[in-house]
Amino acid sequence: MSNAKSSGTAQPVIEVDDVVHSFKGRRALDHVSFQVMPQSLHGFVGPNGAGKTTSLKIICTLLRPQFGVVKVFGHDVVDEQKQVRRKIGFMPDHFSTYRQMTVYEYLDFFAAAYGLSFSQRTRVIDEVLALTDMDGRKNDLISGLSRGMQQRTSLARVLVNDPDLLLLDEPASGLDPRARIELMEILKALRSMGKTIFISSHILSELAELCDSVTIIDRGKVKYSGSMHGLLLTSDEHPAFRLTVSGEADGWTEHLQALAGVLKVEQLEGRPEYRIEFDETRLDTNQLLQGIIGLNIPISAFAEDKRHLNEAFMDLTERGVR
Amino acid sequence: MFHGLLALLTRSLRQDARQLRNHVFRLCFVGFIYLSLLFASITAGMYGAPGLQFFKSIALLNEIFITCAGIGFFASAITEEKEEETLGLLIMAGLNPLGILLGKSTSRLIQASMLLIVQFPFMLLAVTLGGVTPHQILAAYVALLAFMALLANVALVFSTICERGGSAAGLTTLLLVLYATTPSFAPALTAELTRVGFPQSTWYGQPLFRLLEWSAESSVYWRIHWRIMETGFNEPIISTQVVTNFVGGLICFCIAWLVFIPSTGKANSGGVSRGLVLKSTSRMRLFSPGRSWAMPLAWKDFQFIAGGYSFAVIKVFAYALLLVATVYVNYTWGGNGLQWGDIGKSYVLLLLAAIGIEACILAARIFHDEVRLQTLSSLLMLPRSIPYLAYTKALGCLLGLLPSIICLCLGTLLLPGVDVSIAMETLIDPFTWGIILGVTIFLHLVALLSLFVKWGALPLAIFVMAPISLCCPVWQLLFLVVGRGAVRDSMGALAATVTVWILMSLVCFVFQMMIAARLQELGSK
Repeated sequence: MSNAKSSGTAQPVIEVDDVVHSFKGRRALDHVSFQVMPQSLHGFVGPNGAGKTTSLKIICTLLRPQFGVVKVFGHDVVDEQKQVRRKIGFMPDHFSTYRQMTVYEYLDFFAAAYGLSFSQRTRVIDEVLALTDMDGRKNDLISGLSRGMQQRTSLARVLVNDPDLLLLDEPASGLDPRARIELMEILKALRSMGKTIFISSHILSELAELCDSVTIIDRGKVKYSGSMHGLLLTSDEHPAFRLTVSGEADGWTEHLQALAGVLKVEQLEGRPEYRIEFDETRLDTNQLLQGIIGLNIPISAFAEDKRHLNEAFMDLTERGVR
Repeated sequence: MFHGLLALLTRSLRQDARQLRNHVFRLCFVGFIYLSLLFASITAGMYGAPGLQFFKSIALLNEIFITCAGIGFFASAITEEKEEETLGLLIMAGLNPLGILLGKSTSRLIQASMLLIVQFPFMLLAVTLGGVTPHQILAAYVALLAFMALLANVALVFSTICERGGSAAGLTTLLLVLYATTPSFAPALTAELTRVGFPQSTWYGQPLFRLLEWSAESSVYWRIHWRIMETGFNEPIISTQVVTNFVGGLICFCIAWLVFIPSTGKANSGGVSRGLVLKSTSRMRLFSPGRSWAMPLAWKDFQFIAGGYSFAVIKVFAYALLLVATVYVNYTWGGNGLQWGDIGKSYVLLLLAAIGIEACILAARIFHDEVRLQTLSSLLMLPRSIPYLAYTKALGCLLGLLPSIICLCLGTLLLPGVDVSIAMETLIDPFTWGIILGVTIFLHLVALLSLFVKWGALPLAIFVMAPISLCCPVWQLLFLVVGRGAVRDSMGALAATVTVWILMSLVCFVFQMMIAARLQELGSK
C-alpha cells in the first residue's frame, strides 16, 4: 500500500455545503455542512435515523443531493462521479461480499474491476491481505468466515484500489470486542499511512480515542463539527482542570479559590476531586499547577477537564423516537 | 398444542387479508375474466360456442397461473426462510416442522385456491353464452384444485430439500415438464412394452401397466383439454386425475414433513452456493475460476451465475447425450429406420428450448443475485457506468450460453438431412425475428421484474406475458403485418424485418433504461 499523497495546501478532502435531502417528504438532511481535512480520522456520529447513511451515500456518489454541493478532493460528486470514485473506498454497513467466492477471488475481482493489471493485482492483494491479517484465510470461502473476518475481507476490498479516502459506515457493528479492537488497530495503521478516514459509528468510546475530528448529526441537522478535543472540553469560555487529591479532601476549596486567576472551584460530589476553572489571560497551566503545589496539597492526579464523548453526544442530541 | 401448530398459518392468512396488493391482484384476475367474457360476447357471432371459447381461455389462464405459482410462489415457501436465515428463528420460537410447513405452504395453497374459487360464479356465465355445461365447469375447477394441491406440495418438498429458491423452482419445473409430457409418452411406452412382449399378467407387469395407465390420465392438461372440453362430457367429477393429484399432494406433504429436520438441520449457508465451481486449491483446478479476466464482471457472472467451466463441460456432455437419445427415439419409434432430417429438426428444436430456458434462468439471476447478496452498492461504486456494468454482466451470461449455441450450430450444420440453406433462410425470415423480438422482450421483462420481487420473477414474467401474448391484439397485428410483408416479396420481407428490428431496439432501449434506473435506485437504498 502506498502512502497517501501529501497535499501541499490543506484543502478539505470532503466539503459538504448546505445539503438538503428528503425521502417521501421527510427531510433526512436539513442544510448540512461540514468539512473533513486531509489525513484525519473523522468520526460521524448520530442517533439512528439522524442522516448518517444518507450523508455517506451522497459523499460516495450513490445518491444525488437534492440541494447543496458536495465535493470530494475538489471534485463535485454529481458532475465528476468517476474522478471521485477512483479516489474513495466505501464500506457499507452490511458486508456486501460475494459469499460464494474465496477471499482471494473476491479481492482479485474488485482489483480487476478497478482496472489493475495482472501483476499489480497480485502485489496489491498480497499487501491488503497482509495489512488485514487475512493472508492465512485467502483460499477460504467468504460464506465460511466469521463476522469479524468478513468485515476484514470487506475492508481489504475497499483498499484494493489504494483510495486516499475511506468511507466506513458502522464498520464495528456486530463485531465481538477482539474483532473490534483489531479493526481499530487496522484503522490506526491506515491513518499512519496517510489515508483520510471518515467513519460513522455508534461506539463512542472508540471514536473518542481514535478520531481527530468529529461531526455530530441529529434529525438531519449538524449539531457539532470540529476537533474532538474541542468537543470534549466542558467549557467554551475558560479552560478547566481536574485535580484529584489523595487522602481527605475537605477544606481545600477555599485555598484553591484564593489562587490568583482562579475563577471557580467546585468539589465533585462524594469524591476527593476538584474542578478548577481559571482565566487563561492571567494564568497558564504551569502557573496554576505551581500554585497548587505551593499549597502543599497531596496531589494524586491533575488533568484537563474533559467530558466523555457520551456526555457530549447526549447534550447535543435530542431525546425521542426518530 | 394447536396454537403452535397453526400460529404461522393464522398469521399468514391474516397478513394476506390485510395486504391490499393481494386483493388488487384478485380484482385484476376477475377483471381479466370480465374482459374475456366481454370479448366472448362481442365475438359470439364468429364462433359456434362462445361460452366454450370463453371457458377454454380462462381454463388456459388458470393452468398458466397455477404452473407459475408452483414454480415461483410455492417453491419458495421454505427456501425464502433459509435465504433470509430466519428458519432457525422459527424453530427457536417453538414452531414444530408441521406448523412451519402448514404455515408457510398450506397458507399459500389457500391463498391461491381463493383465486380459483372467486372465479367460479363468473364462470357460470359461460353456460348462458352456450357451448358448456355447469358439470364441465365444476369438473374443470375440481381438476385445477387437485393439480394445485399436487404442485404446491411437490414444490414444498423441493423447497424443504434445496438451499436456494432457484434450485427448488428448477427441480419443480423439471418435474412439471415430466408431469405434462407423461400423457404423451406413457401410451407409447405401454405400446413399446407390449410390442417387445413384456409380460402383462405377472405380479410385476400388472402394477407397471396400471401405473402407466394412471400416469397417462393424471395430467390436468390432458384431463381438461382432451376430456372436459369435449362436447357431451359426462364423466364423474372425481376422476383418476383428481384422485392421483390429491393423493400425490398428500404424499408429497408427508415427504416434506419427514425430510424437514434432516434437510434443514444442516449448516446454513444463507442460500449461497458455489454450485459446481471448484476452488483453485482443489485437485481439478482446471475447472476452478482462476484469476479474474480483464472484464471482471463477465468473469464473475460466467463463473458464478452461468456455472463456469465445469457446468459448460457438463452441458456439452448433456447435449451429446440428448443427441444420442434423439437418434434412439427416432430409430425405435420412427418406423422407417433413421430419418436424419427429423432427427436434426428435433435436436435443433430441443436445443432451442434448452437455450431459451437457460437464458430465462440467467436473466432472472443476473441482477437479482446482486440485490440478494447486497453487493449492488459496491458495484455501483466502481468507476464505471451502469450500462458498462450491465452489459459486461450480460456478456458473462452469454458466455455461459456458448456451449449450447455451439451445439446448436453443430447440430444445424453437421447433421445430415438438415438443409443449411433453409437454416439461413430462417435466419432472415421476419417471422424468426418476430419470435426473437418476443423472446428478447421476455428476457428483459424477467430481468426487470427480478429487481422488484424477492423471488419468482420468471413465473411472474410468464404470467404477465401469457395474457398479453394470448389476448393482446398488438402482438397478433405485428405478426399479421410481418407475415404480409414476408409473403408479398423479398422487399416486403426486408421491410418487415427492419420494422421488427426497429421495434426490438425501441423496446429493448425502454426496458434497459428502466433496468438502469432501478439498479441506481436499489444501489442507493
